Amino acid sequence: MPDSRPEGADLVAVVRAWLEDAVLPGLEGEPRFQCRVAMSLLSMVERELQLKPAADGAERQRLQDLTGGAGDLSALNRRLCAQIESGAVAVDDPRLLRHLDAALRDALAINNPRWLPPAAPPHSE
Amino acid sequence: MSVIDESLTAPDHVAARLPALCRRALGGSGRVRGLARLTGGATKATWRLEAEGAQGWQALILQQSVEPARAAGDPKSALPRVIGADDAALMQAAAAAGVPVPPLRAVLAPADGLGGGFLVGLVPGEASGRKIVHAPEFAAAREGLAGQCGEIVGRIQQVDLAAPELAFLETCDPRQTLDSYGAVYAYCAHPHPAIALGLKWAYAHLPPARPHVLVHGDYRNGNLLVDASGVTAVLDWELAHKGDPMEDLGWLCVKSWRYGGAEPVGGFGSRAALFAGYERMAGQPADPEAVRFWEVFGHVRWAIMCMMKGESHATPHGGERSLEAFAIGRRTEEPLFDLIQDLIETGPGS
Repeated sequence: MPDSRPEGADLVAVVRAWLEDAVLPGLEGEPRFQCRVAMSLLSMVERELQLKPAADGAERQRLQDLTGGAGDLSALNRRLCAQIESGAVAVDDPRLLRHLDAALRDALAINNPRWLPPAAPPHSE
Repeated sequence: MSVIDESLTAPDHVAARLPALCRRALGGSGRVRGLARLTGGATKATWRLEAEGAQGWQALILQQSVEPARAAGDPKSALPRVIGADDAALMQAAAAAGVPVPPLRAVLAPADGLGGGFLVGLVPGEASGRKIVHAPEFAAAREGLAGQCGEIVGRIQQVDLAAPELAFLETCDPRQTLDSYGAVYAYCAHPHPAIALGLKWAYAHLPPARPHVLVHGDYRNGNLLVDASGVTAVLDWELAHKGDPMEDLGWLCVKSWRYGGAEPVGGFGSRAALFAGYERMAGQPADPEAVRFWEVFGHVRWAIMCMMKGESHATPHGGERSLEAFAIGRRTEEPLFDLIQDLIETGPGS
């Protein structure tokens, strides 16, 4: 696609800021709540535009290693689900748990970063 | 796609219909003031109002709900949904067993022109789970809250399931519950390995069969009204059914209902206090293994509920396209993350 500017993330950010500065102060009750939900969804889109490409790449690599399959993310996830359901991958397989932990952390970094526990302080030597 | 008839919940329509309903329910002039919509969804609208009855002005809650007209083959039909007159009958049966519930003033009739639902007295208390867990004014209430929650579950289980007015209640034993939510998950057609893992774990850890009791079905922080003295009302009985006695205790412990609180029971109390309260009222001890089953499966169940809310619009039978529904859809990973942390910490075999 053409390299159009401002970029999508900036469009979303400016709409979100407009809701917060120009719309929200005039609202109360349920419309105010709805406006807050709308702003939160736009923040989610901003984070998704920023974080999804790298997260998808890492997830695809892990899924290929774990399932021995190929294809897009959706196909790889279908394959892993089938392996879990059939018992081919055990529910206590540490590699499975590590993969899901990483995938869910990446999803929450987009959908609701506050759900994640605070990052552990870096190890000091 | 089934949504509430918007005209039935339009503010002007509700305001026009309320005086006749309030006269029927309370006597007096039926004059209404302070009408404000608290929440609205595709199948439900809740209003707060004051009405002048024979005894003077009183604060009320109007709940409007509709029977979702679900097409054959839509697996959401397998989930319990108690609304309108059934919901009112259930709350009255619970009240008779000593469960705190809002006092019923009227069940909506077709002539009221407001759809299904009921009018209840406003019960004082805070519903925000976050405030209940964190606000200083509930510090004293929090001390006894887990025990009180256990006692209330014991009372709920004393409701006589053979009562003819409760004949509408469906049975959902543990395996049926897994089957129902599994079908909803499959229907969303979005393969999610963490949900597949959670369901696999749950089928391998089904609790032993026990005599069925009344299960509230959504017994959690957020559906309790709490004041400085403790629980003043248990709300939202829509998912009630006949089932396993440990189900409500486990659902109350799911991390999603802790609102950032450190304690496992609703964010405010210990499992030991919950179980002690339950045993006092139920006359039998809680089964911690079965409670754990419902807590672990609770993560999966809430994830599937979020998925259904956010993705049903894309399924053949359709669903809600709204800010709230889509925002809930994006909460699917919250309980799944908690599930995986739980299984990593405790080991999936336990």
